[in-house]
Amino acid sequence: MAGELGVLNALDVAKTQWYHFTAIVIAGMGFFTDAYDLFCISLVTKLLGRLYYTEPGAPKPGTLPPRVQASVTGVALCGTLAGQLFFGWLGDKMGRKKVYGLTLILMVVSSLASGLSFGSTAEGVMATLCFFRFWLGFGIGGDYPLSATIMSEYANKKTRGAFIAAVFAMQGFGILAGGVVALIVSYAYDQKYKLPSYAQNPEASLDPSFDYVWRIVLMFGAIPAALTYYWRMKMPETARYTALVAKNAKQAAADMSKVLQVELEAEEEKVMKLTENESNKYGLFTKEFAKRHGLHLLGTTTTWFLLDIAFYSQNLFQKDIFSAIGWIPPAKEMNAIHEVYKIARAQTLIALCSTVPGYWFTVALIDYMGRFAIQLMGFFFMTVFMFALAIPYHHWSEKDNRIGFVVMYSFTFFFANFGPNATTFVVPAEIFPARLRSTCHGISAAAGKAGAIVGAFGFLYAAQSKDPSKTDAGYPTGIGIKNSLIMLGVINFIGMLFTLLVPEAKGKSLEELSGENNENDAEHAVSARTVPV
Amino acid sequence: MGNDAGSPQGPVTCGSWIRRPENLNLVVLGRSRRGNSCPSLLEIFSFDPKTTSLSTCPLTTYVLEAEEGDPVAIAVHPSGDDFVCALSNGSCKLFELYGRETNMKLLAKELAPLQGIGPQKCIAFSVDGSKFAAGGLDGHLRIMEWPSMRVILDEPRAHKSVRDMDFSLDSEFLASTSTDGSARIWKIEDGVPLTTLSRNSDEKIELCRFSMDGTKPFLFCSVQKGDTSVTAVYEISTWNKIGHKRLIRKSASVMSISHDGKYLSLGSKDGDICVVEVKKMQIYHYSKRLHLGTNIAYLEFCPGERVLLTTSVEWGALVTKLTVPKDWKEWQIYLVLLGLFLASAVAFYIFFENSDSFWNFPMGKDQPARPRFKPVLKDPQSYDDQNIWGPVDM
Repeated sequence: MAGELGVLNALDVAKTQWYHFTAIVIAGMGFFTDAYDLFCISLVTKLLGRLYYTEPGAPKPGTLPPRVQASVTGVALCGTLAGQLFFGWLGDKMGRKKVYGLTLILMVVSSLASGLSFGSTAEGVMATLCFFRFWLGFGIGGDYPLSATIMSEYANKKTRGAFIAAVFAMQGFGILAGGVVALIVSYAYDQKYKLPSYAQNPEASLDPSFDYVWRIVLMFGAIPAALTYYWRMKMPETARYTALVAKNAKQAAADMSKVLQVELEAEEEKVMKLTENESNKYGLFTKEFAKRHGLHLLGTTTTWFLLDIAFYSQNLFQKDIFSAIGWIPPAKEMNAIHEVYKIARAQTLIALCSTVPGYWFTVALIDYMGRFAIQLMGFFFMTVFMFALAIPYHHWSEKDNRIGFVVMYSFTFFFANFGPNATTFVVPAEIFPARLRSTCHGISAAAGKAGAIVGAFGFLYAAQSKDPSKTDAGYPTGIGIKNSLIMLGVINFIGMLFTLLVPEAKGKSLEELSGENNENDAEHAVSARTVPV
Repeated sequence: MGNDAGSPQGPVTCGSWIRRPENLNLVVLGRSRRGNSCPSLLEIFSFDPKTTSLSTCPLTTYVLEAEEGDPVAIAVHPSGDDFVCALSNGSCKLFELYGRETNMKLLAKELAPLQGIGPQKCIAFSVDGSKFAAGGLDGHLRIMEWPSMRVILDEPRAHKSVRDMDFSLDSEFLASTSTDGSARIWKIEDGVPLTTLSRNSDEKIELCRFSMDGTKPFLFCSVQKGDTSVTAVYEISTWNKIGHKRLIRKSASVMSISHDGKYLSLGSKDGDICVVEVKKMQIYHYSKRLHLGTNIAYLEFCPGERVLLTTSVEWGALVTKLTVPKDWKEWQIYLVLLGLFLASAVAFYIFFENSDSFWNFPMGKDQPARPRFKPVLKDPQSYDDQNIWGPVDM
């Protein structure tokens, strides 16, 4: 124990060494696990439809009914919202280390239970799956802010900005891992069974053992969660002043001064401090806050909300886009397992070429270009590429042009991550006064999750064709792929407009007296997480 | 456990909690000699959290030789395996605990660098157990690495006479106070003085404790201002005083911080104790005359329980259960979570049973299937929406 604690002391003093990278991995495993669990469901929903909802003699394979599709896809996001509220309250009560263990155990158990979903009917299986997916999201909701907190506690004082960004970028690897796992499992089954396509022989294209495929992919999410749990429990109790590391000493001192008698002295400096205290004592629901920061809060919440509508709908339903343009063949031309393979390959390629590089571009350039420019540029290019896909949709839907479609579609992912997806996380932690920082960040994050729910549930219906004969069984008519893409483009454009409400935090500071202008901007990325509300 | 005046045992001069594995807590007490028939002792007692009392018989006893003098101060290593005892003859000895609670033994060892250094007022281990500090009555301050005993700081004239000292949570600073009312901060890694705490001319800084809560980077000091004793708070990024508050009514003689950093406790020279919640600096527990009319020599929070150990020469060692709000137990958290789990299971089942009627909103359940007609010719107006590969498989 004493030896382990000695490492903590060395963390601040030594240059970047091996245990700094282990700290990144340990903290980043939380984000990795979150991304894997939230997005792997989109890889297996097609298979679920084939396994449980195929009707004998139908001209094409079965798909999930709309209510089941929406529930399975979106229920984890609802759980995330609930989990954030519950574990935020619990962390104040019990302290963080106990909550760490609790959220990760919940994630391990829920991942395994998802794979063991049971029921005598198809809807019974889906209901059980939704139940456990909700609790998986609940655990993720608790884990997400804690992952950010750990990094601020273990980061080297000198290079912690880069560490925090690298930890956040682990999300991209989580998405990538989901695709890789699905790819490996589906390829193995495909090689073993070599079944005919649905068009050739409907009955033979589906084997009951394929039920294991989606269960394996979901249960695999327990492994990174268990590893995270193991490593975090091995970490020693944090023996440092996190308020100092996270530059929150002023906030802590201000809170303490409220419960003490502050000595009045003739010194001008102290009088200035008192004056500053008086002018900064407004709360969240006051006219002073609305006047000073109302537009900023509106900007951060709306941009996060609008981003997540586009980001989550694209991530969760990109396989449907690929089918629409023909990159993935029609379902009846493949057997069940080959379809999973094609979907996993496509999504993995997108993650590898667009999502992950986008994160690292942000890591490299955020302190040069500034948050405002990155967010504005990201929204702008997302808008441009979305309209470029949607308006000449007929052109892209021709077989010879589909590679162009994929390239353009990839750029929307690239500029989402080299753009608002990263900056919407960073900015709310910087532009609000320290006393309200965590509250405003929480409000913005909740708005983001609400946008994710809208994206997950809304796109499913909107993307249906206007022609009733072309809709899937059980779906009402929608506005079509083309108009859905146009709508996403409009959403991105509105996000770009609301970005104008958010000030640049890199070279400018709203609180001159607080001296935030002199601090490393990146160090605020997760500072809000270290102060319990 | 009281100590009657007629008891053959010597008076308690010092004590400390010992945290053992599996949430077990022991108490070590040091007794000075009384007359010729009662030698100086070190005794180990077990603590029963159910009855909030120490065991009636010590688990083990160590008898000090006459030339070793009396125990003056005890510092327990955070590992709970050994402790250092400062003796009145001017040396410090290391004591190791062996065996389980049923057959515990104390083994004494000499610490060469701490032989013959003069009487030590206070000795302390850092929170991570890697440093050891000793402050002498002669004002000599020593900081060493543990267990290698390599000297980090050896300052013969640190103070007029050391009054109190404490390590910071991150083992970066040592705060020490003097009998003349001054207080100094030492940078441990470099072994150099960092600063002196600011005070007015009529103020004497007597006691100091660093915060144990990572989100509150403060140093708490007991300051005597004339006849009044107040608790001052310094922030450790700038070492400026934030403010002060009067908590205990008499002069403070001892100060302690709970292991999780939530509570601060003060003991007075008249035998009062008070316990303060750090977040609000509000008194949550006050015991008047706990040690009636006697200076409280030692005060410490039990690790893991809301219990205080206090010692005085007149009344011996007492354990006091605190009247503070109860902390959440882990099983209560699991119970809440299980309740939420079951409630959501019921909610999901109800939703599952009624899901058809709920999802009827977009389209009627018994609506007849729409006729499927395929246009022979492409309609120019709907050309853009037509997918030549058929409908999207959602």
